[in-house]
Amino acid sequence: MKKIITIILALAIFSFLLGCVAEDQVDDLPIIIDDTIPPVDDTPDIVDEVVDTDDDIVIEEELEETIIDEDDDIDVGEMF
Amino acid sequence: MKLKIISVILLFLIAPLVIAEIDGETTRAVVTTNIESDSGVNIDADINVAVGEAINEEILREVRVMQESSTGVDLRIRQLQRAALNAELTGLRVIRTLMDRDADTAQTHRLRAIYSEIILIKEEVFALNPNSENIVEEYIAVRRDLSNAIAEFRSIAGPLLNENEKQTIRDEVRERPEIAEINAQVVARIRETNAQRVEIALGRIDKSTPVLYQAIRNGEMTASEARQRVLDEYNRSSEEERRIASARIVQENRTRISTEQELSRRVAEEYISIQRTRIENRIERLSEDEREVILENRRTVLDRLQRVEEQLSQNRESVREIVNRDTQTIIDSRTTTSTQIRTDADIRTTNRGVEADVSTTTRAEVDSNILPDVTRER
Repeated sequence: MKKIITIILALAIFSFLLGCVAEDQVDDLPIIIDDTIPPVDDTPDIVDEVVDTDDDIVIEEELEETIIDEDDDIDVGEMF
Repeated sequence: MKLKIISVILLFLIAPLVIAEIDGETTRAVVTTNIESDSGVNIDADINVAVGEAINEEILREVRVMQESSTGVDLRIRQLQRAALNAELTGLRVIRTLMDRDADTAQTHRLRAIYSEIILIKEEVFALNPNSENIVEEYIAVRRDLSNAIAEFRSIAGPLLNENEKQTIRDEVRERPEIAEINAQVVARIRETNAQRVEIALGRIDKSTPVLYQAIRNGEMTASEARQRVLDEYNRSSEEERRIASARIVQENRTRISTEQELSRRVAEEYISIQRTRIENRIERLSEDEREVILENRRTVLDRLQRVEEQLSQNRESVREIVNRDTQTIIDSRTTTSTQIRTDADIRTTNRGVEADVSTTTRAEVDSNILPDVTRER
């Protein structure tokens, strides 16, 4: 019985050491990054949603941007 | 008994290997992320900055009118001319003011160098050809250079002037006849653009009011009055007419977003490819003293552009991917209105089975494409 316990303990120590070595080897493995895989698009599929289109809102928003005010200007910043 | 012992032995042998492998996977995943960051962060950040310098939401909104008509191109060029002229006149007045009161000579020296560069940029602005095939890209590049030079000037001049001096200079420049002349040109083009846009807007509900267009051209009504007139015409139209108009607007916005995406990518790539040469060529035209100052100011930008250029020559596709991703982010961050309109277009397309064609680029093409669809629906 003592022999069996000794063998089991020896195997346990051996297995532990083997595990440590294996882990180190995994760490040293060459790393290959596959950048050809496109990122997963997790945005919700808006097309499937049931939404009422409000024509008047679309028109109103467009007309709001149609007329340019006479003091409209580009912004390149001030000199001081 | 023997079987039990063998089982225990096998268990001890296999378990650590499994544990090690699981742990290894975790380690490998972390390392992969780090390496992606470590190897990609610099060039990625460089390209990110370069794309941000080339194109952004504000510029996209600004050039929208340039893509509509030649009047829109002319309008933005005149506005850029006014900005460049204003910068030149203001810069000169600032330097004179500082020299008159014997201000810090080292700072004044730097301002003079930037002022010389502003004059060169102004020449480039006035040399812009509205008929050029790449006028939008050229406009964006020179506008960006002007904006950068003005920012550099401001960072030095701002703290050196008091509020009274600033206000005096502003008033003097505003009253200059060159500025007044270009102001009149800008206003004329805004009115013409408004008249054209109103004509297109009313065309969507099959209405034509030449008297209104002429009144807008002549400046006989304010922008808000014109806006109200168009809204009134829409309110008088039938529900069916408004539905058709809405469908047209949605389609036009889809086309515009698609065009903007293309433009953004083109501008970003072109900016990265030629911006360093543009800056260096301009610097070459300065005096030796001025060149040193400007080179010192631009060293970081030039170094960054050089790094990106090198990556571009080594791995064009990877750089292009990052450019595409960055420009897509800019497009996606556009106003909620555009996004909503795009969403509506998708829904409409799905619900009604209208085959949307987003490859078209002009208003005429948009109208000819949408009309048969809408007519069929009727």
